Amino acid sequence: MGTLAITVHRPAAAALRRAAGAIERRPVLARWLLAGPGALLAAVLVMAAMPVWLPAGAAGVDNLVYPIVLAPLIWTVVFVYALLENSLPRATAVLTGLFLVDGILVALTATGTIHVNAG
Amino acid sequence: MSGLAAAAAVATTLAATAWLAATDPKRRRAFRLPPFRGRRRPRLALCAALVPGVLLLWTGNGAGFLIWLGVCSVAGWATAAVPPARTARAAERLAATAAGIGKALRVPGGGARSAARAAARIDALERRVAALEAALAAAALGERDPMVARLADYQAARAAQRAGDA
Amino acid sequence: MIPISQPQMKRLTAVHGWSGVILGLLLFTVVITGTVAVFADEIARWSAGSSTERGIDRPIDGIVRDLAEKLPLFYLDDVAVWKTDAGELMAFFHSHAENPATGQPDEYGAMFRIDPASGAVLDRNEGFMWKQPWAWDPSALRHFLVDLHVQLYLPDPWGLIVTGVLGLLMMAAAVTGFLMHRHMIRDLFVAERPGARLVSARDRHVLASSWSLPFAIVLAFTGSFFSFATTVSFPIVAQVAFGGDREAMAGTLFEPPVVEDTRRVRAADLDAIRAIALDEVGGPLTFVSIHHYGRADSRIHVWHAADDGRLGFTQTVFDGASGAFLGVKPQVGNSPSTGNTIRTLMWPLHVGDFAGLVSKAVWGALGATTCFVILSGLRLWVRRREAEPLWRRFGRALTVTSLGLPVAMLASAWAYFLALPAADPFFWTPLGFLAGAVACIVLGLRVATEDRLRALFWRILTWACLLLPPLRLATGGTSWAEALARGHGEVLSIDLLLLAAGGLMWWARSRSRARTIVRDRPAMEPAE
Repeated sequence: MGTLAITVHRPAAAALRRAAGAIERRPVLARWLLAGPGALLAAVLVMAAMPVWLPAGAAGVDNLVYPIVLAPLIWTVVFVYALLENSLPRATAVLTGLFLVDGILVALTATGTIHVNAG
Repeated sequence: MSGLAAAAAVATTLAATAWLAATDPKRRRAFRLPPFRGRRRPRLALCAALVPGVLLLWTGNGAGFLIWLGVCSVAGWATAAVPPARTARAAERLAATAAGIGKALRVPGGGARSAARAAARIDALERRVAALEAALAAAALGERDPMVARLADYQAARAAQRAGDA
Repeated sequence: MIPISQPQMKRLTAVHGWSGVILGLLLFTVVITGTVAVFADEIARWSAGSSTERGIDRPIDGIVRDLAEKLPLFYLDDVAVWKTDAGELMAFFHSHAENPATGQPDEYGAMFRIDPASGAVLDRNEGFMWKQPWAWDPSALRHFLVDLHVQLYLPDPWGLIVTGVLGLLMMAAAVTGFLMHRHMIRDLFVAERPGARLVSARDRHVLASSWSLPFAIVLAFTGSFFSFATTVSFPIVAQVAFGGDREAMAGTLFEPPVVEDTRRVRAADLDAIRAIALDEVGGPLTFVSIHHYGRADSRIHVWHAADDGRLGFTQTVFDGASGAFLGVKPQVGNSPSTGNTIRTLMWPLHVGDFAGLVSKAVWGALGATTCFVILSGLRLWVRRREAEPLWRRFGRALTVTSLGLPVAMLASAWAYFLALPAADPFFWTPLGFLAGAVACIVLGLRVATEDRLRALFWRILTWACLLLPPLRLATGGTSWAEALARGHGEVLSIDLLLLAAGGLMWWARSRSRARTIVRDRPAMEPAE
């Protein structure tokens, strides 16, 4: 069992280390990508996924209004995080996590697997 | 009524802001003024500056709160942006104008009025001393100031007065 | 304060500075036009020379009923009634169709301009009327200045996207500035130190930006919201929540549910509805919209302007057949919600239109402060690099933009008044701005020294302000006596403000010249 776990995790960990190394070798480019298109894409995806997980509220509109109103604030938070985070691999992991979670939610909604909250 | 509440809140906050500005140690250092010698009570002044806004929100006066916040941002900046020497000159002019108006409106009155006059006179004198100190500091920084020229006359007059008193 | 490491500080400084340098001049354009646009209604009344009353304060039922009876049913799908800043009543009977020019659904119908006193129709136009502002906006000057602020006079939707990006930039600049400045509280009262040194320039920028920080964030956030809401955010959310059906989403957000009933009935009395609306909510009524006029399922929405402590617009809803009061409708949704409260706050927070001229004046001052922050920041950047020719040229561009933009805006006002008697002001007003801007750029390229350029701009601004009121009067504008007699406060106030601004600039210029002479005199004395 232990041997199996090592054989499964070693290549994955090595790949992650290689990716982190590649990011750290080009810090300026990585920071530009994260704070530029990365922050923009993250803001769009977070906004798009918000109607799915936000409660609709008493009037049944909160989950539609919040993403529209808060869009500039979401971008600012992601942008400032991407700018301040000292560890570029960690910033990349956080933003990739955001892309994946929100992207999956949006995709599942588009295919009709899940539905947005209704009042 | 809500407008009056907002106006009162703005006045209170601006008075507290002016006090904080006049006694601020870094501002006084930057303009080479002597440190403020009285009790500054910065926390109390900060409370006096912020509580009016909280009260406006508490009473549900949203419009008043926004106006309070906006006016205090702009007027706070204006208060802080004027250098101490100029503030002192403006205060002196204001005091002179107020004294002029008071003189014009003065009616022969009782003791209370004369006591108020004496207090106002002491206030005016104190403001003048502050103005002169500020002018001296400005002169030390290389500003050309007509106040400095008047300082010599002032000191001579004070010396003469003291000699007379003695 | 948030602890910031040296590498973080380096990144913050780079983003704060470079974003400002690259987009700061455009941002200044948006903010200065926004500062003027706060007074859009007042400028409209001043330039159109008319009433200060924006509320629908006269009977309208007879007028609307007469017009509706003569129109085919197609036009009665939706009716909008409001009063312009020139005091005329407007009624737009319309339905919905695809606009071939844009490929988007739009409102097509017949628009009437009416004398509210006599009910006489002054003008009738038909088409996609919102794209034809000359038919409903009495002031081309207001229209141009607002358009310049909202979308930099660029075509849809690019203008909104550009101003939205500038709003984000302003947010980023405000947040990075806040994080960069470690001693914000300690420096809150440190005025600009004398001597015109580098530290003085820094003091000037830091002090103004520290005090205006909360509002810079509020104005940038709300402005960015307005720019992106219709162009980006709404379509994305509609795509996720309604499979791309924007009309369905708009219906959920803005329309109360009604059971369809197409029977024709006599429409409710609009004047009785006006009276109930005033009684229920109060405040000036600025807009009446009637859905399915003359049908059994008709609904009437009456819009009340912010007043008497209310921060945002309020809507009352009535049954369009019986005239029964159905309740106060939130701007978004059909019952009160946090989402609606936040959405309602966006407009007053951005434009300050909630307590008449007092709140507008405060917002105008906040806009002016933001302009000062942008310019002082850019000046500080140039000051630090003035040894390099490239940055000296940027400094020149900064002078041209900061003084040239007000000149160009005044030029647009001049063009508007000159065009008013005989030509199309909607064509000439933007052209006047363009001519003013080009002239300023040419001056910036040709005048040798910075001091001379500033003096020249200052003189132009002085005379442009001083001569604008006489020009307005000469081109048939309302006279002061007439304005006073009719209670048109804006006409007199803006004329006097312009004269005061011109006079103040004249005085400031003469004072600074006198100072220069005094300063130069001791150097001349030995030669004499």
